[in-house]
Amino acid sequence: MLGKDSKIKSEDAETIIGSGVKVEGSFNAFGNVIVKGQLIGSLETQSDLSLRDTGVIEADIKAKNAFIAGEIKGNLGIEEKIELASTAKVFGDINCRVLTIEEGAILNGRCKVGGEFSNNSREKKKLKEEPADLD
Amino acid sequence: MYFYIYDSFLAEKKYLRILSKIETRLASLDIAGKKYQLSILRSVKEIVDEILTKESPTIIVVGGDQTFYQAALAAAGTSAVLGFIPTEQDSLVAGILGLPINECSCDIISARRIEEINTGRINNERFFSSIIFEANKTTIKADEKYEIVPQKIKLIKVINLDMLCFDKIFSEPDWPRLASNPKDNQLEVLMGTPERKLLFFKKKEKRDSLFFVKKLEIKSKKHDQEILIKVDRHRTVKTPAVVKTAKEKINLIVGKDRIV
Repeated sequence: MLGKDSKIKSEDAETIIGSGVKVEGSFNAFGNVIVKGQLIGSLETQSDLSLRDTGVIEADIKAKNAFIAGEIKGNLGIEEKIELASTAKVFGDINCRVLTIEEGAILNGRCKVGGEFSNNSREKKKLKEEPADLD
Repeated sequence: MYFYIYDSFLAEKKYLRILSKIETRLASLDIAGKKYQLSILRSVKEIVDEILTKESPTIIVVGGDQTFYQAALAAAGTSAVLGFIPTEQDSLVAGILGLPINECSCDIISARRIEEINTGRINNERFFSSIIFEANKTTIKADEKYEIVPQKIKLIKVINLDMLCFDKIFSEPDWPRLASNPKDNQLEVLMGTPERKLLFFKKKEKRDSLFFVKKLEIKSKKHDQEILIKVDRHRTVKTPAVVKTAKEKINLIVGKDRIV
């Protein structure tokens, strides 16, 4: 094994999208993702997302947990918990198990909180069609 | 069997005492072996290729980082074990792999703690440590999925085995790691602005972004312009370039105090 302290497994790796760059496209990561810059497209990680106050995301997001202090234009499908800080601006639908909102945060969209997490927020339940009785 | 490659600068008289101490320590540890002296007439690759014809060799480079990089690339993908006895105080490899300089490294060679390390590939060439290029003249596509558009950064460093900084490492809350992970089959892409000296004061280096990629396509923004990419601090490759992790790995002898 290489050094225990500094070694990061691929799933723990911490991606940092800094304020000096813009990312465009489908961004997939295994580890935690910190966004301080701009991301346009889609974002998916098996770990946590931290969107700092300088960060802007125009994308649908899938993650385990999310801490939001910046701006999002897109839907959030979060497995566990979403924390909206006072500087957060979210324009899109939210689907998560736990939601905390700090005073001052802006949320403009539909919320589905609690119960079982559905990975696809757009998934629609099929309506059962029963044969009509013609009397 | 141990084979020692001595760097060309070690032929100078001032290194006689250091070499004598190293050789005495190797003999007392019972790991002395055949010695090859680098010169203008014999390259590292030629020597390593000759050693590789022997059965299960252990190749030890005595000298500087650049010679070690060349030996590592020549020995990649083979069953040979590679060690390093650094003789320069400012050796970057020594710091990363936890190797003390001069004769103190002999004990680490003797302990034979071996790690399998990745190598990187840029176009048809392999690289061991990192590549560096200017950010503002290039377009970068990662893993064929997303594009990274540099806006306020100057340099991009793609790392296989190196420190996660441009010049001097310093701790920051979002940057807990000191060095790359050369075993994860991924390359670290560090973006930022290196330290600058402006008349009477210094502007500290700024690390901005860090990505983990398997493949990176680097192109010039202008079709008629070629951007120079510095490879392992001494070679250059021109754009367009495709950078990825190579299949060939290296068996390296590392120290207990390594930081990767």
